[in-house]
Amino acid sequence: MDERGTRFTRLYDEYHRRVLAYALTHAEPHTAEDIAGETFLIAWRRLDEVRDPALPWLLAVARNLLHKQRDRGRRGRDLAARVRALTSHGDLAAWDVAEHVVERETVLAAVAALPERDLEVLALVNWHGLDTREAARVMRCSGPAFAVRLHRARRRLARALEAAGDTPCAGDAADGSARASRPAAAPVAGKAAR
Amino acid sequence: MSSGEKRTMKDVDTTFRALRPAALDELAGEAHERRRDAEVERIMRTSAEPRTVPRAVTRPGRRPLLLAAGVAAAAVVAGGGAVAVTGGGDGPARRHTPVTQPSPVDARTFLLASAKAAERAPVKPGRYWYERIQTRVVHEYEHDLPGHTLPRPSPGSRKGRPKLERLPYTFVTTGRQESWTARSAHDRTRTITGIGVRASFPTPRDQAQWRRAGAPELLSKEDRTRSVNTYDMPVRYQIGNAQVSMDELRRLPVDAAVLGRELRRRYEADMRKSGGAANVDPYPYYIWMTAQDLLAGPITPGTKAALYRVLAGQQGIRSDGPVADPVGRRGVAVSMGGLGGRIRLVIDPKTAELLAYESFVGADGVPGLSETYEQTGWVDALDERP
Repeated sequence: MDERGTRFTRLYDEYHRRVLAYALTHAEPHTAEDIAGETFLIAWRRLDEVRDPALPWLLAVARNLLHKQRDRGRRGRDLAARVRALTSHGDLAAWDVAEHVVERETVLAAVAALPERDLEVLALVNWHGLDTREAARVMRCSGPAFAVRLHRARRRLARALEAAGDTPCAGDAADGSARASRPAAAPVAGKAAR
Repeated sequence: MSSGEKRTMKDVDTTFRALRPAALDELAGEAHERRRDAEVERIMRTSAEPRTVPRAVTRPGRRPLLLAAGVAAAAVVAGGGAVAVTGGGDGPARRHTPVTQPSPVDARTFLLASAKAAERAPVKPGRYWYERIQTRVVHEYEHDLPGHTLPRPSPGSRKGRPKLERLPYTFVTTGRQESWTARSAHDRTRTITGIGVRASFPTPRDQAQWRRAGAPELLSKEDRTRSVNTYDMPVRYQIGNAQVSMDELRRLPVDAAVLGRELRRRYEADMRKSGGAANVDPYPYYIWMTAQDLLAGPITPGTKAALYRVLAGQQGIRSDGPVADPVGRRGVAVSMGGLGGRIRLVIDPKTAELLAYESFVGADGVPGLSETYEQTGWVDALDERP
């Protein structure tokens, strides 16, 4: 019991924030907190099943819970909507500093048009710090199957950005800094996720 | 159009990465700080086996029937730390002693007989399903005391990880809850929680140790406060991961084969939705949990009989023979091993009513958590009792 308790507490302290961050990309904060809590309740009950690295296991559980949540009503484009809702002035400023070739709003529009599954795949790798094998475990598919999904998601996003890039930038209404032309340089990472 | 062709996959990742809102980490950090202590404590109080009652507490509203405020909640959830307590303290002596003598009948024979008894039991549905449940939980860790939370580890240090502090004594909390669950979705449901909540000691030695430890409060004021709760929303019952209305519950099949297929279908749907067999309990356990949830509930006599017959066909259920339930009523126990210990149902052989549910933590000894269905039945008015 003591050993179990210690292991669980360690797991919670190490990963609770990351499970929360994951849930927050798919659900509004109140629900996300509940999902993270329930994820750790399940982890506690099945502690013996949780192997290192634990994050893929935890995110897989959280993902199932999120799916159930979605079955109960809301469905669809939640990731793009969450990004919109969570965007702060700091994000907008960081985007401009990084001098991306495409406006943030334009990228967001492109992202919103992608299938939710593509976004999920991209987010696992780019936002939640998983390698493809770990991400495959979260999605409960094989490594090669995940690689195919990731490849397709990237291609679709590239195509969407390309299409969006043809449209002249109208300026960033959100922070008021309209720019007539974008530098042609390759995009630089603004805020690198882990 | 052509400029896009030059965009490499790496660029796509870079662009997508930059979209990640900084608020993700800020919100996560803030929520972590705010929830950490209470959540870890609450989770670790739950027993290790799947799906006893704690779900209701993590997600209020999911199982309003079991939604218990104040102590009742605390009492219902605890039990994780419970291990064997020797001897009985507050009630008939040795009532929890596990039965070791040979069982008079095997589980299957008993369950089939219970099916027949359930069919014979006359039931006239009323407006509300009434239940009075006593919950009894054994505590033996410091964080079970009011005002105590799990020790916070110092960040980054492995040595500073908290250890669960075992109390020098064991104490037991008991409390009751009453509920009137509306049959119609238009009626309200009422629960009264925190009834007669008290703490006791299994042995005089425990009490002496408690005094020596400074006689700390074992229950908070909130724990001891009776609370009347009214719910406008219709109550949902739970079968596996799915929720069902009272109406759906009462329309469950009355034929064992049909019910068995229905449960199997539900189980497979759970499995699909949760992404595979690894995410759901093994089927026999699923059936056992379902029985535990439904047998004391407002299902029809036909469904109850069918459920007993489905149970009779399962592997892994063992008869523990005649026992007394936690309030001293005679019954027959059937049990199944779970992830955290055995889960036992005590059934009245005459009426096939479920008398109690007991969750054992150790290999033997007393249950760490028990729920006793002191009274159940249909009534026609809120606050009326059968």
